[in-house]
Amino acid sequence: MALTARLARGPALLRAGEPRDKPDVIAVIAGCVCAALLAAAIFAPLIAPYQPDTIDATAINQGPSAAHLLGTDSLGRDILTRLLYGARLSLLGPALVTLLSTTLGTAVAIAGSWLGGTADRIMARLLDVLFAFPSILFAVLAVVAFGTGLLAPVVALSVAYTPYIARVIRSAAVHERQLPYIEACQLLGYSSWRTAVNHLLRNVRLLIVAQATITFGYALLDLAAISFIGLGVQPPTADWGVMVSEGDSALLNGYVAESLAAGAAIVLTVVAFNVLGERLAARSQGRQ
Amino acid sequence: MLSTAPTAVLSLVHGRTENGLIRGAAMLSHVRRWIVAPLATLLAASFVLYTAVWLQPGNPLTLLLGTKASPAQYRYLAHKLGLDRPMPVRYWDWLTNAVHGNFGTSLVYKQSVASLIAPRLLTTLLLVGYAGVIITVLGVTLGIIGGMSPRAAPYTAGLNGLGVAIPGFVAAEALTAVFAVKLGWFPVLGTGQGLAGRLQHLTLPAFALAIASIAYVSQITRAAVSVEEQSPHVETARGRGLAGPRILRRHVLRNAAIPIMTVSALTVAGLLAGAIVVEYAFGLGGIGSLLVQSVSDKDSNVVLAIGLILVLVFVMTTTVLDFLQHLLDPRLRLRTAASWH
Repeated sequence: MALTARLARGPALLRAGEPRDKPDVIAVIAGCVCAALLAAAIFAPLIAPYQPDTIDATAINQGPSAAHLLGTDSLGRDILTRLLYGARLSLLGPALVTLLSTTLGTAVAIAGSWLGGTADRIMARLLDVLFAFPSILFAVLAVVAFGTGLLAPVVALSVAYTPYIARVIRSAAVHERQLPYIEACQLLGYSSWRTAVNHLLRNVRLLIVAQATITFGYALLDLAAISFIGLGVQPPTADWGVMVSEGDSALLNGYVAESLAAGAAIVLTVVAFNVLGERLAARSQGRQ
Repeated sequence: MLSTAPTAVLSLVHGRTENGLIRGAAMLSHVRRWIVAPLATLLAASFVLYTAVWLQPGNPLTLLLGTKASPAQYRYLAHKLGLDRPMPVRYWDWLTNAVHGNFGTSLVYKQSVASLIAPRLLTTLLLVGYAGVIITVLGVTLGIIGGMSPRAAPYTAGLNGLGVAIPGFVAAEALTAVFAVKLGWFPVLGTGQGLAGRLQHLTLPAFALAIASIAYVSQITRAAVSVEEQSPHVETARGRGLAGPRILRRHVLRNAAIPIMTVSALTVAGLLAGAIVVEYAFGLGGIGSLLVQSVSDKDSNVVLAIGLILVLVFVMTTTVLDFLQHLLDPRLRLRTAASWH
């Protein structure tokens, strides 16, 4: 009985405030959109009506029809198919950036807040150097050094985002550090590692998840921009940033479908992840 | 640009997350904070920049000599251009020259990088300035409306949430489709002649560049204004029966101004990086599109110079802002000069 009641309330992360509160409807909707996008990317080969690189010279720049729900591009490729396949790289990149930068940022923040003193200051100085680079510039430089493709911008953005995540998590960790439960752990003779990881990290985990979710949106924007200027994923591979760029010349002749469909996919995804992240952040602040 | 939630930014701007007080802030710590630390950051950043370009695969000599030149010719040119020296020496040479305004010669355009960049920098600054005005006016206005009127708040919040998710290049395509191709009000591509022509060519790019930042500045403004709206001194002003506009001007905006100014200025500094993408989208001849072109062309000296300019502007803006905040807000002077801001 209690179990079914818990299941009915939905997963803990999506419930607003205290466990007894009603689920946060907007967060649930945003979460569903995110999940649907991920599913579309994973199952693209099953859902997509065509192959992403099938060129059809007899159906160039067609408008939406029953055969092509979103129309075709300047090479006669089905836009919906390319959007679905494009979701794979367009979401994989930000997922990697989020994973790397959140791990790195959290590690730096917890270590800094825990060790304090000189170690903390040295880390802060190193992160200051990264703050000096706008993230797009950092990604462009990585492309200069390591060549175009998805990998170099992903690594560069992971590093570039680390200070932003570290700063937010650190201020929460510094606050937690002063609370009585840390002292209690120390009195119980727990090791620093156990206290920091099992207790402190656990208490800021909601904030970390919130930060990661918001980071995903920004990473998607930056990676798509890098692909758009021709330094990221290379055509003819399907990718949303590449599609906006590829559709540019058709758009000047009045065929707006490709650019705007890919653009809308980017905006929708970022809105969904941002809304979810901000709801989670608000909840984690409410708890503190 | 990666931004944190508005409330988090507010607390960072006010320095509320830092603990402890320093009494009698020493001159030494001021020098360290506003002169030594930014210079050290710049120095380290310039080294990162140079390393990235140094790692670039391919040999610039092949570009200059072609594949048929003799090894002796290669050695001669490498020596003449200083390419045979160790990397730290080349870095230091480049840096000292750059500090004197000498960024070397472009391998592709065969002219000095400074003369190549100067006219394009003007275009970029016009674009960023134009977008900056749009952002400040629209962002702050929307934010005040959202912060003052509880009825409008959900709508402005929704608009902001949508706006921050629209990247410059998507806005560029959408604006071009509607205002340039369909309605024909603005030119599709190019930089334009004369000030009026330039501004007309820059209007769509400026809006494309501005959209996400309008939403962001509006979010911050809304948060700052609604915090002040609920504060005791505004309650008191209301209780004294003061007129609404007067409360807004003298009691709300004065206190909300510091975070709003900070975020607006940071956003405008960040636009220089955003201009890379938007200039490319509109085929504008600014330093952003030149950077993209030079990366593809492997024109190292140009990449280095533009990279350095972007980093310099970013570091200078954050430093000046930090200084101004301490000047404007006496409370900050008492707080620790903690290194994490």
